[in-house]
Amino acid sequence: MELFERKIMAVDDHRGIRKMIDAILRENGYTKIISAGNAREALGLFEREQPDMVILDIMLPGEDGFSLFGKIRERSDVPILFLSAKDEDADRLYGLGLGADDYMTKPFLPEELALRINVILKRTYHVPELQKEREKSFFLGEREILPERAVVRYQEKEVPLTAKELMLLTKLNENRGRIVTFDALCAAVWGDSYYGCENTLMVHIRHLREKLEEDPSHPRWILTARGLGYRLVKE
Amino acid sequence: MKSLFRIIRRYSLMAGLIILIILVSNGIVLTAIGYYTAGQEGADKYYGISQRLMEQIGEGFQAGAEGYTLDKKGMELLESSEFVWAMALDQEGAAVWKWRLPEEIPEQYSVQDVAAFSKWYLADYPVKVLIKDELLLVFGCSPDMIARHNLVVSSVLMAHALDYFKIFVLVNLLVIVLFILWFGYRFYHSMKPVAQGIEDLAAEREVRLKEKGPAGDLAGKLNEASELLLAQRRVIAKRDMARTEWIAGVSHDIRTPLSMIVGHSDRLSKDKSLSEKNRMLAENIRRQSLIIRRLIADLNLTSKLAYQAQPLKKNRLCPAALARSCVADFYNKGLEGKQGAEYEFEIVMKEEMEQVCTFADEGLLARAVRNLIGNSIRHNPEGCRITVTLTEQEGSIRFLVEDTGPGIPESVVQNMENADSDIHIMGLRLTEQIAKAHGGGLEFVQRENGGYDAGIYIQTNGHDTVQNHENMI
Repeated sequence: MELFERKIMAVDDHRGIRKMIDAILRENGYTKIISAGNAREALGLFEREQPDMVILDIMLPGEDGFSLFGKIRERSDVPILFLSAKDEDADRLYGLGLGADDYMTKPFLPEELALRINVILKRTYHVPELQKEREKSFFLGEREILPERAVVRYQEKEVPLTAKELMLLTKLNENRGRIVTFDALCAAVWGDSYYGCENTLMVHIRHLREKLEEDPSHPRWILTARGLGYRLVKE
Repeated sequence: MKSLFRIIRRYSLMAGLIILIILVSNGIVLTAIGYYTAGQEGADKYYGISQRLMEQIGEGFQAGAEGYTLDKKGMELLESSEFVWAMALDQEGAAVWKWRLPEEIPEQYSVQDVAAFSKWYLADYPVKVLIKDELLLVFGCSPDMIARHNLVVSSVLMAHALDYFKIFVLVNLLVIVLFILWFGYRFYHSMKPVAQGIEDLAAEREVRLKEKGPAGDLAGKLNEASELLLAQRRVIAKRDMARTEWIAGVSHDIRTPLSMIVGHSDRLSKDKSLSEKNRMLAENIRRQSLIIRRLIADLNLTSKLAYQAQPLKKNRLCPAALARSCVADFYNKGLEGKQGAEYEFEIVMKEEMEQVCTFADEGLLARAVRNLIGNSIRHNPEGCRITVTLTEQEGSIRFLVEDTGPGIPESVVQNMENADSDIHIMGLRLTEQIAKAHGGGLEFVQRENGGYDAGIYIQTNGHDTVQNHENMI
């Protein structure tokens, strides 16, 4: 089954929110969307329709979202995302502690909701695709980077990347177009306990530039954000 | 309890000082009295009948054909003296010269008589004697004037008098000191629970003392005060909690309709079927509704911080990394300046700052720093250069945010200091609360042109330095 063919159920007592979630998901390619306004209705609908994912509000009339979560879990392991106006850390931690796949607070950006749903569905039902996507090659100009083989291909030739270089490049590519701080890069490569690795990092970046740039001293792809970190330029 | 120790120590010192003052002053007074009144010389001098006077009178005696006579000068001295009568005895014990001799005083004396009166009384008159050549001059004093006692002391006593005196003083001192300690201990014992109670009261702990013993009344009053304070605190806490819950409730209720505004305006702003102008309007609504979202979150947090309903989640963090991450966020999220406005950021710090780590709530601290940077951007829509300076001194870490704009106006600084609530500076208040929750505060630095830059400082309470790992490559 394709990702966008998955059936999603939204449970919220506010009709306007239900309609908006419906519209957001449709705009993002989903077609099978069902919704319920309270826990009883939601359980009935869940048993009849067997959705692939549930978006759950917490403050529902009568039985609340946490309790409904438990009842759904008794019946199925479908991914559940809490979407609530409760922004307390305690609620968030409680929700995630119950085993929810994500917790979002209102007001939310439509795009963010759609992205999170995509990720959850891929993680649950489309692991090989997700893996593939992670290992998908990408281009820096005419150079193709093949993460699963850790090489850079250019004009029929392949240049190998070291493990650290690949980790750095992957981190930069995941945030392509954004500045990634020295600290975030170091944490990605050496773990959280490594601080002040700027000089070591510079060495690795220089090696990367030698393999990826036409002119390593005037880089086009891996740019330095002075005093902050590095940025991988978008095409 | 330290204060009680101080009181006891002072009490003992005072008691010791009082003993010392009494001893010294007694010594001075006794010496003075002794000098003026006690003893032969002293008493004589005091009453104008000194040995010297008797000798001067004795000088005036002359032996002539008609017996002994006293010259004029001697007579004048005698008459002006305190003596009431006088006589001169020859070696046979006969009175060979007399002056105002009362009738009851005999004129003939045996050796025994002389021996008796020279150390005692003569017919109830205390007398003074002086040997002048072959004469024994006897001067009678008024019985009202001086008293004399013959003191017979054993030579052993006299030899050890000084030692006995020392023992006497030492025993006295010992008894006094023992009494001081005993009373001090009893005082300490009875005041100890009261002092503990006062300390508990000051530390906002509940006080429940036994209302017995000499300090029972005080303990009772302390218990009452504690109950009163607790009751007041409960009322305040209840009110604070109600206010925090009310704000949380209102902000919760606003979130659902705001979700609709954010969601729909976002969809409209991307709706290609709308005109460019309408899409811009929708984008504007979206942006403003996101500002409302931020304000609600700030309001909620500020009320929780004000009433201690927000526990800090302190973790080890590196301030330099935090500053970098905050600045990078602004670059990455896009800046809300006017079209074409350029913002440039710089982080200034010493190299050692890279090694400094501390414990703080990363989320809150980042929010405080982002608020300061966000203020610089919001108030300089034409663009500016923003410098974040990181320093560490005297157990605190400072983040100072400066920009090349006109700076924070005096009125805002005044408003912050006078604690008038003003919604326009809620961001700054929140920043200040976050800094205070970390044992620091908000500070303003005045520029030469009169504007201000804002910064925060936090207590490091034992930061640690991170080590570079050599085998990182």
